[in-house]
Amino acid sequence: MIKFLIKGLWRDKSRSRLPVIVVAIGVMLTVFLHAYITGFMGDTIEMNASFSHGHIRVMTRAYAENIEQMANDLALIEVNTLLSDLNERYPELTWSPRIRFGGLIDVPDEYGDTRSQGPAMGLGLDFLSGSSKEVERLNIENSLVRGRLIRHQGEALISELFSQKLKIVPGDQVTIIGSCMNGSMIFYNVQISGTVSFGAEAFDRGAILVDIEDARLALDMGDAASELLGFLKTGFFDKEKILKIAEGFNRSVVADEDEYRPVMKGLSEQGSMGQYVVLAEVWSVYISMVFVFAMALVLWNAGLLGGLRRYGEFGVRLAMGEEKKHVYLSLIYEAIFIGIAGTVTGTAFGLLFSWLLQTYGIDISGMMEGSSIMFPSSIRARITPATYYLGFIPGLLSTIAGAMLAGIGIYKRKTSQLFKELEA
Amino acid sequence: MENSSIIQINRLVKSFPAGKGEFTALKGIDLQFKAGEFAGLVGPSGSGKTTLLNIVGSLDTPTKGEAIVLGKSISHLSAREAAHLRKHELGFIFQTYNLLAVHTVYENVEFPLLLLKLSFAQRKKMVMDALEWVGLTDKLNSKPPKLSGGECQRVAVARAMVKKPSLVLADEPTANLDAANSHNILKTMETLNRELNTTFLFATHDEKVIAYLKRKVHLKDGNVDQDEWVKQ
Amino acid sequence: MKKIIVLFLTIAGIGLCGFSTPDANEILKKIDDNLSSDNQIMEAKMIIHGRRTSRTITSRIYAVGNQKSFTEYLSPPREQGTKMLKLENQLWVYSPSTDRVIQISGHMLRQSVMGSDLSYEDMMEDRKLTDTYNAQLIGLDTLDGREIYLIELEAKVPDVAYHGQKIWVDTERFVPLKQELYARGGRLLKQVLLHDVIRVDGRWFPTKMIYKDMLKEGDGTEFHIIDIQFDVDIPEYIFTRAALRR
Ligand SMILES: Nc1ncnc2c1ncn2[C@@H]1O[C@H](COP(=O)(O)OP(=O)(O)O)[C@@H](O)[C@H]1O
Ligand SMILES: [Mg+2]
Repeated sequence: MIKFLIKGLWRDKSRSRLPVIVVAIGVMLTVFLHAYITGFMGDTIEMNASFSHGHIRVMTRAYAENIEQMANDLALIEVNTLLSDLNERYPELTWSPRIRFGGLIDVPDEYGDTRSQGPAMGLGLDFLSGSSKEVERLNIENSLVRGRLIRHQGEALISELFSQKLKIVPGDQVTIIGSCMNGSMIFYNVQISGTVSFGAEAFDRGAILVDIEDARLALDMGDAASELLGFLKTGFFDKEKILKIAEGFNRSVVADEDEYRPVMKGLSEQGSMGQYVVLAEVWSVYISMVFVFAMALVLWNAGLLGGLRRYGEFGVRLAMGEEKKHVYLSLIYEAIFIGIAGTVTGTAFGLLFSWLLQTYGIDISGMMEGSSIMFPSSIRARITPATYYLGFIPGLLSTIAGAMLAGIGIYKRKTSQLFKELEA
Repeated sequence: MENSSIIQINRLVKSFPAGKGEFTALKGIDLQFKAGEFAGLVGPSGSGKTTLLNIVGSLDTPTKGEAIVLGKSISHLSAREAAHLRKHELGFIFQTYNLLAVHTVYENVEFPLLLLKLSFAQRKKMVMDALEWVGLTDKLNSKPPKLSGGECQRVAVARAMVKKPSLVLADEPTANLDAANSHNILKTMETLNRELNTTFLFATHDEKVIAYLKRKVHLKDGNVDQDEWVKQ
Repeated sequence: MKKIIVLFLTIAGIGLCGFSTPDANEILKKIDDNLSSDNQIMEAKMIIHGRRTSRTITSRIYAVGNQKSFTEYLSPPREQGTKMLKLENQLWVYSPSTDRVIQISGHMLRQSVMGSDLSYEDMMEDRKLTDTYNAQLIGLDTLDGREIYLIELEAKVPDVAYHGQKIWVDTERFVPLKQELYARGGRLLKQVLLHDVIRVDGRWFPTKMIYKDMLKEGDGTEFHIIDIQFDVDIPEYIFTRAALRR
């Protein structure tokens, strides 16, 4: 009997292959879309975290008030003490001191006169201590276009686009013109060790990266830092956890009236990133839900139609003396089989496409110009545990639900009427 | 069992809900059929032939009155008991053949035996016998869409007969067949009726079929108009 | 009735200007006579009261006429050796640590000099007030016990850093005692208080100035003139870019 049913299922394309393909396509789209949204939004969040926001950011209260100004006269001081305190209090986080500064890059000609000049966004981070993960965090190694990483004091990386604009190559010496912690104009020579392209519009336009100790020297910021970025050791932003940490810390220093006391701000509390996090959460849930729901409807409907189409066959089988329960169950088993086959196939293809998009990405640089948030210049999917099981909701559950509903007719209708459905 | 009553119908009424009220398709039928009969319900379209045949086949239930088939009262059967009755005792032949399109001739005929959980060897023998009766042993592995109408109906006959049921119910079996095929099918059924003593009950308004019948029950507007026995 | 009062006041006002005070542009010219000179060498101390710390920077400034000036920073160690050269409307800075001479132009001129309340632009502006502004007398008053004219200036050339000014001028010595510098929209950008007026070579000269950048937090920058000499010989080579590197 089972063999008979399997033969029927296998031979009837509209009963097996077609529904499996429909389910597979639906599931594939669901899986892919989910990975895509998760990837794009997650990447954007992690990218902004790595480059500027941290999962959490410690600054002085005064600095935080005008965060865009990168006012190093309001920077954190006695950073080492603060760091060891933070390390002790928050073992789940790692901390990266950063110095952000605005300024000019001035390129000399052979006589030492200005050959070219351009406004730069400076970033001092720990390249050289050997104990930091900053190079990996910013994916600098993979972002190198020419030259090499910073290996010695006095070296700098510059964004590739900027280097072309300034017409400089690795090995060239340039002067950073900026203003130091007390507002004085500073000049600092660095040698370009390489060029990088991060694929983040805001950064690639005109960034210069130096070791934090160079930045401290140049900007007269010994034991100071613009900000301390905290990163969860899990590697992924966790809004609830971070907000709890920030709240706890801020409460512990609230009595201090000093405008230079440190404050903590979670990524989701920082300006447009905050909105983005909310948006990302709402959207990835909404889009996934709407899509799962839409696919569920489609597949449920397909399951239903697949069942209804076969009322004639059921009529014959019932007339031959097969029990209703048996007919009904065989329909459900078929749906389970189709659901599993379709979902597995669809998930496999969905994962494959997601993986491709995760590995290779699609270049969208240029589409994000002028945005206040840093967007990755390529769209990448992210495969999460949910990617593996999400497809089963529309793929398996809806297909079965559709079949179950269609099958109710077997009970509801008189057997004689099942023939009528066939004749109509 | 010879000459004993295989179908006993008493004051049978069947109504269908229609619009606000209801429509009565059978208005109190009293009939009796004996084992081995080759009988038919005849009458114009809409006279209630199919309705009556469906009730006898336990595919439908009476509104009032009684239909006792092989000693079982149709109105008192559970769905399960009805299935059991059909599985063991009844064979159906439909106007539209109702074969399973993706299954071969062999598999279509085998299906009722699968329900009876017979062994492979038993099944094979019985299927081959049935196909021999209808003359289709050379089309074992063909599928219905590849067959002619006549061949399809012969498969349907084989399927109805394969388990050697006590009663075969045939609803307009020749409606889609030409004269030659109609006669062919009817001759086959006549032979089976004779050799296996299977009871045949037809529902038809086809003169070719009527000519073969040994008893003609004329229905008119849900009533038995005339019960005519053919002298042999 | 109202009209008559207004008319009366206007006539009275004209009368006041006409009879008992000099013309406002005349006042400007007298200020120029006091403050600008052909040659000067000045040693100055700048105390910057920042938001978090105060710093003192000393410098020596050489100037010839309006067009050329040369500044050398003497202390603290971080700034020592930094030199600035201005020729007409160009400004170069030499930084000893990088051994680079860099021209400051465009929006960089708006930047603060050494974190003080003065911008490079402020340091660059040395045209005579009479060449750049039209003046109008708007009142008489006293400030720190001195009689003053309050005059209002409006730029007559386009390339000035401040579109308008208000100056409180000592009526006797023709030295500004207070200055307010305004943007085109009327926003107060900077305030300068001038104190410790001394007499050098027949001029009145303020030796202590307190600049306050109104858009910046902190308590202003004091500018003390420790020593000033007028009309001394300054060798020409000082005002060359080569001198920056020496
Ligand atoms: N399920 C049903 N609902 C309503 N009316 C029905 C139903 N089945 C049959 N009828 C009506 O009952 C009458 C008899 O139908 P039927 O037994 O099919 O006639 P026949 O087979 O003799 O042509 C017809 O008028 C038909 O319309
Ligand atoms: Mg009929």
